[in-house]
Amino acid sequence: MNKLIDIKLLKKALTISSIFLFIYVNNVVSQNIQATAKLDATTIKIGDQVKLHLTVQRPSNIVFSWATPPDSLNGIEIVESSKVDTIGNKDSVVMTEVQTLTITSFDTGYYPIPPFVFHYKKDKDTNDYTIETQTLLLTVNGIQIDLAKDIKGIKPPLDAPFTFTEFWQSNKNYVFGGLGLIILIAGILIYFLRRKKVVPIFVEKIVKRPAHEIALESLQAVEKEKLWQNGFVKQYYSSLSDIIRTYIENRYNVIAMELTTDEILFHFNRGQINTEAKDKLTHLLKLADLVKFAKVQPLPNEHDLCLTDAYSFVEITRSNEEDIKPIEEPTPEN
Amino acid sequence: MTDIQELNERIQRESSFVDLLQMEMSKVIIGQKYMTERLIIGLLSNGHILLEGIPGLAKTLAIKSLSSAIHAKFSRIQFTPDLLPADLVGTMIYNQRKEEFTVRKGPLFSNLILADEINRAPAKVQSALLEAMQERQVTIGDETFSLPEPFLVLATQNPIEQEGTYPLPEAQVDRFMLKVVIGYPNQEDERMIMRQNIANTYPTINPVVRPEAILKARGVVREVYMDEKIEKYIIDIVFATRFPKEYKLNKLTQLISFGGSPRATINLALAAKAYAFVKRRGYVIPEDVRAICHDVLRHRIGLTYEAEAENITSEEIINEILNAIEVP
Repeated sequence: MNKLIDIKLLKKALTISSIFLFIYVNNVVSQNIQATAKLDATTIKIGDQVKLHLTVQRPSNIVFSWATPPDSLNGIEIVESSKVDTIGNKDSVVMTEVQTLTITSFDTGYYPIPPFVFHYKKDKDTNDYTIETQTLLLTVNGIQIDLAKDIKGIKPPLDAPFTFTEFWQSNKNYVFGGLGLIILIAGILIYFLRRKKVVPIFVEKIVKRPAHEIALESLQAVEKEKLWQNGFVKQYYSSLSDIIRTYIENRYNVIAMELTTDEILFHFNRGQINTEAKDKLTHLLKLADLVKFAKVQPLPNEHDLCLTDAYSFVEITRSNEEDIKPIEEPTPEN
Repeated sequence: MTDIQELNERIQRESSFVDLLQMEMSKVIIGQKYMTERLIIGLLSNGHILLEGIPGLAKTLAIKSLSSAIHAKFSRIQFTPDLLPADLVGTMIYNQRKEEFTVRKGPLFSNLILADEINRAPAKVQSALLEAMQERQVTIGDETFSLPEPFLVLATQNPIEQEGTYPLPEAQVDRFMLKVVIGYPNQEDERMIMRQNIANTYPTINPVVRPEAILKARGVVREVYMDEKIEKYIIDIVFATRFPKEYKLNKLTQLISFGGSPRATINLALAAKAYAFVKRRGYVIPEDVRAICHDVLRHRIGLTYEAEAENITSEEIINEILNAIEVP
């Protein structure tokens, strides 16, 4: 009987001690994780910035996830979030992780900063545990305005000098691009300048033939064709008129082919040719117009007279040989 | 005697009234020989004329003088924004005694019509006039009436004062055979004008020509000989306004939006014949074509925005063309 009582007492004692042991071990792990939040200053002026330091101390062997800070916290704006900085490594027993948030507020009042909640899992334990920082209070004060003083004008914008660094950061791509382009153009120029010029060995001399030479040749050709003798009177006078007008065009740089008889004669009113030449030209062109446009059939002796007038006009008005200079033109490169 | 010589003699006979007309007109119109000559060309070639010039250049007086020198019925219509087509062509009026509608013919039933400031009337009135010009007949109610012969419309328009005007559309301007631009008189003519006006002595113009003589002369004008070479020259000029590139006038391609119509070719040929008639010739020479070319083509060449932006006129384009086309 006493033995049975002892066994029962022993079981109770074991159960109670197991419970105490579990509580003890759990407390030991929890006590090793600490999450703190700390403000550099708990009171700021409106618009001022203050740093909020989040620090977590934890054993290195647990699975821990850092709390992602939101964009704003109950009227407080998070201006900047630093990276999470870790002190210690996996081999260390205890690790410390730190993040600094820069916060501000643009309204006066008291702002409680809610606790930041961190999640973690213990080694060989699938349960999810949490730990959180304490709640902080940020006081945002306004600026005291002395109503007794005069109202002052608005201050001009602050002068922010433009530094070379800023210029470089915004324009470095263009600078490199420009330099590259200059180098490319310089390269192409050097390539072409260094290329040897092909100098033609034989230069073909193109001699511009004198206007009178062409005209006289054409008149001889018309004479040989015996146009009026074969009944082509209109063609004969058209040819004579065209030869003389082409001659005037080449000799005097007048667009004679695009001018009427009166306009050509008017052009020679300024005394470029003598009266004899002008009379012969007038007779020739006027008679040619009558044949061409008015079906006039001149007598055979008038046909010959017109040809003679054409020859005489060219001979009288021909330029001197020394006025004509041959024009040299290089042979085109292959 | 060749047919041309015979024609020359006929022209000498039939064209005697041209000098008389010019003399009568010169009693009142001092200078402006160019305008007077163009009016006679229009009269001889049965083509309507649009006179353009700033106010005070005797446009209206010239037309009135021409009509006074001809034994013909003359009407002057002052175009205003409130004018109606019926004011021109006439209308049907109800006769209470006869209990029927009777036709009341409008001022268009005359030999010579002076349409003063044509661009001041709205489009429907302009259309009524231009249709009558083209068809030479008018329909009132359900009856069609032929217009009297000779029937010549001489319209004036003012290039300045564009406010409150209705510019004539290109299609309607094309109905005018000639567009004559009138310039200022020279100093000597201006002095004569001044003296005549201050003296307040206005000579009377006597009718010297009968309409029958004009109709007869028109027949002779159509007989004036035009050689194939001249025909080709005319066609080349008109085609150069349409396809400048084909005539090595590449720079004009950007300046011309549309060129002369076949009506331009017809009118240029007719006007050149009339010009030869006025010069007492029975055949056309290139000078005749060139002399009348600007008046026939200036309102038939459409300018692009580029041309307008660079202040290039149709006159300059015609000059370029004439300097590029080979004269036969």
